[in-house]
Amino acid sequence: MAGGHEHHKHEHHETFISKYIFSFDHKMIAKQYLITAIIMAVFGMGMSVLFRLQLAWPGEKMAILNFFLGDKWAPEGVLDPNMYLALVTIHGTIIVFFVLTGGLSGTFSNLLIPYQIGARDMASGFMNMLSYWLFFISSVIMIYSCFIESGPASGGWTVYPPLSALPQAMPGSGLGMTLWLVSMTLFIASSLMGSLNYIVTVINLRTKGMTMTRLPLTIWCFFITAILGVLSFPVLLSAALLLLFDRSLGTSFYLDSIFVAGQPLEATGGSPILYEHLFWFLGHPEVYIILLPALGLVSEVITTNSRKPIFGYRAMIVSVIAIAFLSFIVWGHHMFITGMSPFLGTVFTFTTLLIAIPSAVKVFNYLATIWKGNLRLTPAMLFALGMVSLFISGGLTGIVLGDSALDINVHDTYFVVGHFHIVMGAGAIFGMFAGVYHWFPRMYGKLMISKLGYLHFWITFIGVYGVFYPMHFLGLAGVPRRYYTNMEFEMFQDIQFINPIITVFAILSAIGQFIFIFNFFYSIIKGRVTNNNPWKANTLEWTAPVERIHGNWPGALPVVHRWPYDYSKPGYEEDFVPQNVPLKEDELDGH
Amino acid sequence: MELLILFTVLLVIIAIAKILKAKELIDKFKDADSDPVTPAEIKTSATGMLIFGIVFFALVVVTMFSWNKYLLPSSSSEHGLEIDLLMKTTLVIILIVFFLTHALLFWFVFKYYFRSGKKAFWYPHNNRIELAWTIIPAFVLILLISYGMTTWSNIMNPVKKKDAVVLEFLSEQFVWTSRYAGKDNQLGYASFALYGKNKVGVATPYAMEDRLKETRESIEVLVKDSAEFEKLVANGWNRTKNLDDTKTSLKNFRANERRLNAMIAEYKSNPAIFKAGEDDKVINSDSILIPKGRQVILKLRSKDVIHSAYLPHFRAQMNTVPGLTTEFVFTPKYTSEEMYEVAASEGKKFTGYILYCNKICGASHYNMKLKINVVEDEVYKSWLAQQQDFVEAYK
Repeated sequence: MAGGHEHHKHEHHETFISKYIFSFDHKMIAKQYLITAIIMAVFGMGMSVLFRLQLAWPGEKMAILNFFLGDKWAPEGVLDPNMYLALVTIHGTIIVFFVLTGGLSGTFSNLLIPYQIGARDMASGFMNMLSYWLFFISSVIMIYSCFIESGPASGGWTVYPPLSALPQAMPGSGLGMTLWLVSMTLFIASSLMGSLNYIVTVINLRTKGMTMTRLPLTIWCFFITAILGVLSFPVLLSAALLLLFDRSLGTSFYLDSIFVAGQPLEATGGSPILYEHLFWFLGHPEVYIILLPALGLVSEVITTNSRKPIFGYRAMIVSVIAIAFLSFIVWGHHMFITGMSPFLGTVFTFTTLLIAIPSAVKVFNYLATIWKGNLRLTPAMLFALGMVSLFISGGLTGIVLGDSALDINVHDTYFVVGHFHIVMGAGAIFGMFAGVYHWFPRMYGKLMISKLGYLHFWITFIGVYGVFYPMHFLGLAGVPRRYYTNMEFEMFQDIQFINPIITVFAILSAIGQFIFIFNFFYSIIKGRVTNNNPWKANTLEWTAPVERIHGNWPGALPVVHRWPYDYSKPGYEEDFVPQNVPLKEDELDGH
Repeated sequence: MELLILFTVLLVIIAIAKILKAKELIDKFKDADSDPVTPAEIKTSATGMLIFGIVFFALVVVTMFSWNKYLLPSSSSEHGLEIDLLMKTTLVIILIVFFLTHALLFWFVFKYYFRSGKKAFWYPHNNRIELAWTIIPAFVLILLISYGMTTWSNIMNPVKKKDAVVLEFLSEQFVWTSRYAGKDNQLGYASFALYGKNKVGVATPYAMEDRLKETRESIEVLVKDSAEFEKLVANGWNRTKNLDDTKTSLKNFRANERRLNAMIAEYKSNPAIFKAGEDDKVINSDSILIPKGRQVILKLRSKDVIHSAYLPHFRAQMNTVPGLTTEFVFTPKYTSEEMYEVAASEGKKFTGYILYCNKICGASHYNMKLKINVVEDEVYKSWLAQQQDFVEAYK
């Protein structure tokens, strides 16, 4: 137990490098992850604005495109089709992996796991540091790949072979693709080290009294997410390595009967579908690797700011575990129309729609939590509520896509783009924003400016629905995703007017994010200093002093006496009772 | 456009500046223990959420009605009608849940916003309610799942009819080539070893010999080239990539030569399978005909990368995968001309049946299409009769 550790005195010297760069401290590593993720998010978002401009006004000369992409990729301001695909690909890769996987788990698992379970630090500080620096190197390689002559990977973020395996098929499948694979390999190594650390820490370093059923839901979600990551990322690693072999060593795991650039290839006997299976065996749990931490943060923010216990704590834990388990047996719903056996389609439809049950339970529990609450609508709370809205909207359209018969006609259309951006893109980003606004005082001892937070929320909330809601109509009209322009088809002419609307909302949302970035960095320096528990919350991180000291608590570690959700408990004057307050005589522990 | 962006950015900067000024003034009066948000901010947010909810609902309803005319007209295939019905059922359920849960969400936020002195209702759990909202969604979903799975099984395991049209689409960057089965109503064996002048690689005796000749010629050229490049490299030429590429090509063509030799040997022992392709009809056009009311068995193959054959009006889609033949079966219900009227009667616009690629496949992915005309059976038959058999076309 961590309680047995002696507190380290501040005697050992911390140099600039050991404190800010190669730090072992979970709080510093969390900040490093967050700031790296913010930078990556600016790249990812910027790319989306560039290709949205092309989709709204295809083929028009736009100086801004030439400014960012240069004469090679946007001669006279007209976007090159290869660059369009490259932007789409790297946008997806960056947001899915670097922002919402590395950024989200990296920041909040690191910050909150030791704090909320009452530990001095992660189980292995060194591995934690290694995990961040591998993440950093892989981020640098991914960004670097955008600046090479043949352009970055352009086969879509799923990089299906043979397209991604054959440099003859498109310029992006050359060096750019190799760099993508190298970057992803490092990323996976980083993610695995992080996840192992989270699991070990949660299991071994809980403070006295912190039983599994007294863990905050955030920790439950991070814990389950880490398990998902450890079980599924190695499969992507193998998929990536085999692809690397096919590209560089002449193997043919994914190649068969291919005739490209006027030549029949020697390589035969493989199957591109094998890659799809391996990819989506990670790819679907990945959705929940992104979503569960966001749901965890949202659970905590909602219950704290509702001044009311989370409704159905145990049901929430069970539904998270159920979602995690089911996420491993649904990957085939990405492959209904790949030529996979139709019988498998039936199986995957069944398992996929089952996921809607625990998801529905979660939503109803959130609604029951805010019912008759006393809602403190802080910016974090608004983002959390926004996330619940997005989770509902995007989750419901998932019922269409998970149904194999319906998927036939909306597969790979804008319906899909609208669906997953709402539920896991914007949904997880909202969870992340809620987390940043809520735990900023924990990270920096200061508050972010609430008025700017509100402005940021409204622009983003309106922007997100403005961008992704109309996409469902494009999808139902049969407009495919990843098209450089829709203007080559007479049947898409009439509905093209939706694209400028989407793009205007996208630009608006993008501008709105700079308010957040400004607020974030400005508040680090000049934010209002606050006490150690500004939100009057129960969890242990708010019992630590405002100063972020090495070892988190001066003196002994706090001892836990109750579950984390004693808000507005009858018999108490205040509307919150922190976890380290002993139970009164005759008082039952919460739930 | 640039003006609009500039204007927005300016507005945002002004807003930030104003807020900062106010913040600095207020901060002077606040200590570390004062509330992070003000009651006014909370009240404004609650009202904001309610207004957002109302406007959001209104816009969803308005767009659903006014943008309906841009969506696909109702299905033009038999199985597609089942999909449309399933879609409608699903959408109705989804919309009910969407409106209900969102109405609760926005209303609760508005109704229960923070008032100091008030205490929230202590209500940590209620097993009966939780059981109810686990079982009810489970029940609805099981119904929906069974409905969906039955529909899917019916579509994917159709009873194949004798008079079906057997039609193959071969995809390559960025063209669709079609091949119809001939009088025997089956497609002949085809292999990637024969692609070249032979667009879809039909393996007939002559085609194999011809391709072998072609392959040997290529090998000869490549052997010469690589010898020359080797000499140049030995003399310090720095473009070794050319030599490597030539060697790779040589390996590819030599493998193809072996492959063709094996096929020709097999032909000698078992000539029957190489016969079926002779009467196939390869159509090199961006527009084809299919008959109304007859089952169409689509056979899908790919030359280079994965593509996807998407025929939205028929509610049909299937990927084309190199090294694999995939299949999709559908029956057209309306001719192209009839479809104009069907669409018009729904207030929608129809611009002709079309097949297009729906799996990212390279730079011109956005322009890889094939027009499809559905006509009466007689028209189709006489059109097909005019098309040359493979053996005649490939000499």
